[in-house]
Amino acid sequence: MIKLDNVTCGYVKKPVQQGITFEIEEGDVLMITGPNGAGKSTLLKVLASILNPTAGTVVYGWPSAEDPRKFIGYLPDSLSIYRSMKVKDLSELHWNAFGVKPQPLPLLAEASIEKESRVSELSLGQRVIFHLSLILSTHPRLILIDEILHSVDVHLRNLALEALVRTMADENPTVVMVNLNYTEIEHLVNRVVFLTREGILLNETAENLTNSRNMTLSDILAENMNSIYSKKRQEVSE
Amino acid sequence: MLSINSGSAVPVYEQLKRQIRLGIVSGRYRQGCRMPSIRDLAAKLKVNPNTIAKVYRQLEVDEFLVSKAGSGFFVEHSPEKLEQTRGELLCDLAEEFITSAVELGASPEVIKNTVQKRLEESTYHDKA
Repeated sequence: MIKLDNVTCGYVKKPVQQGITFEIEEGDVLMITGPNGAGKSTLLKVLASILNPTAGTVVYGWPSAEDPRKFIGYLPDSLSIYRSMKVKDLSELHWNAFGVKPQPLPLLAEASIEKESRVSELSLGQRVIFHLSLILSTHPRLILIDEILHSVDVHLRNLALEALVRTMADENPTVVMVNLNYTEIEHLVNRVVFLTREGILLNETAENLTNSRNMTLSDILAENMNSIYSKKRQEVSE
Repeated sequence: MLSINSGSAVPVYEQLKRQIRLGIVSGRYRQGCRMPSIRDLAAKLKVNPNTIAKVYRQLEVDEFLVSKAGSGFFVEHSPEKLEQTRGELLCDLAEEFITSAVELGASPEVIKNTVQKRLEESTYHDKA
C-alpha cells in the first residue's frame, strides 16, 4: 500500500498542490486525471520518488530502508533518456542499475527497434515502447505512466497496452497512470483520482462511479471535465 | 470472438458474462473447449485481468465452466443447464423487445399479432 499524507508539492513559494491525502492499495490500477495545470505530472513525480514533497509524507508498503526507486518503474511524459547511446548499451545500463539479468525484450522486434540503433534514431513512439520494455523487464511493484498514449500511433499504443496488461496479469503490480484519453484505459482502471487546481475533486472506485450513475466511466469523467471548464468560462465572463 | 461495446453503460463484467453464456448456449463454445487464458483475453480486450477472472469464476459457480489447475477454464455443463439457459436468454430478449414496443405505444394485442405475423413470414422457422 502507498499512503500520501497531507502532501504539498511543486515550488516552495508557489505550491502546485497542497494537502493531498489518499491511499493506493496493492494491485490497484489508478488513473489520475483532471484539467491541465492541476499538478498531475508533479504528483506522479512525487510518487516516483524523484521529487520530494515540500510538506507531508509518502509512505510505501515495502521495507523503508531500501531506496523506493528500486521497486518503481516510471515512464515520464517527456523522454530525455541518453539519446546518443545504442539501444543495447542503454538496456545493459538499466539492468545493471536495477540489478536484474540481461534479457530479451520482445516488444522491440514488434516495434521494429534495432539493438544497434541509437536512441536518437528512434521515433518518439519507438522510444516510448523501448522505455516501457525496459521498465517492465525489471518487474516493478509500482508502475507509473505519464500519458503513455501521447504521440504514439495506434499500432504501437496497442502493443504498449497489451504488454502492460500481461504484466498486470502475471505480476499484479500497482499501476498509476496520468491520463486524458479515457476510453482506451477505462476498463483497466479500478480507481480514479480527479485532480483540479483546488485539490482532489474525486477519489472513488470505478465500480462505485459507474454503478451510481449508469454511465460509462469515460462519460462520467468527461462530464466532470466539462463542468470545470464551463464554470471557468462563467467566471471569466462575469 | 469476444468483444466489448465501449459506449455501453452495461459494465464490462456483465457484457462478457452474457456473451460467453450466449456463446455456450449457441454452441460456439463447445463442451470441453478451453476458454482463452485470462492473460490473453485481458490483453486483447484491454480489460483488467481481475475482471476477466471474476467473469470466469462466476461462470464456474453458474456451472458453465470448470477450472483445471494450471491449465485454465473449460466449458463443461449439463444438457439440462443448457436448455434452462436457452429459456432464460429467450425471456430476456422478449422482455427487451416488449419494453421497446411499449415505448413505441403498441398495445399487447398489436405486439402479439406483429410477432405472430413476422414468425409466419420469416424464413427462420424453416431452418429450426
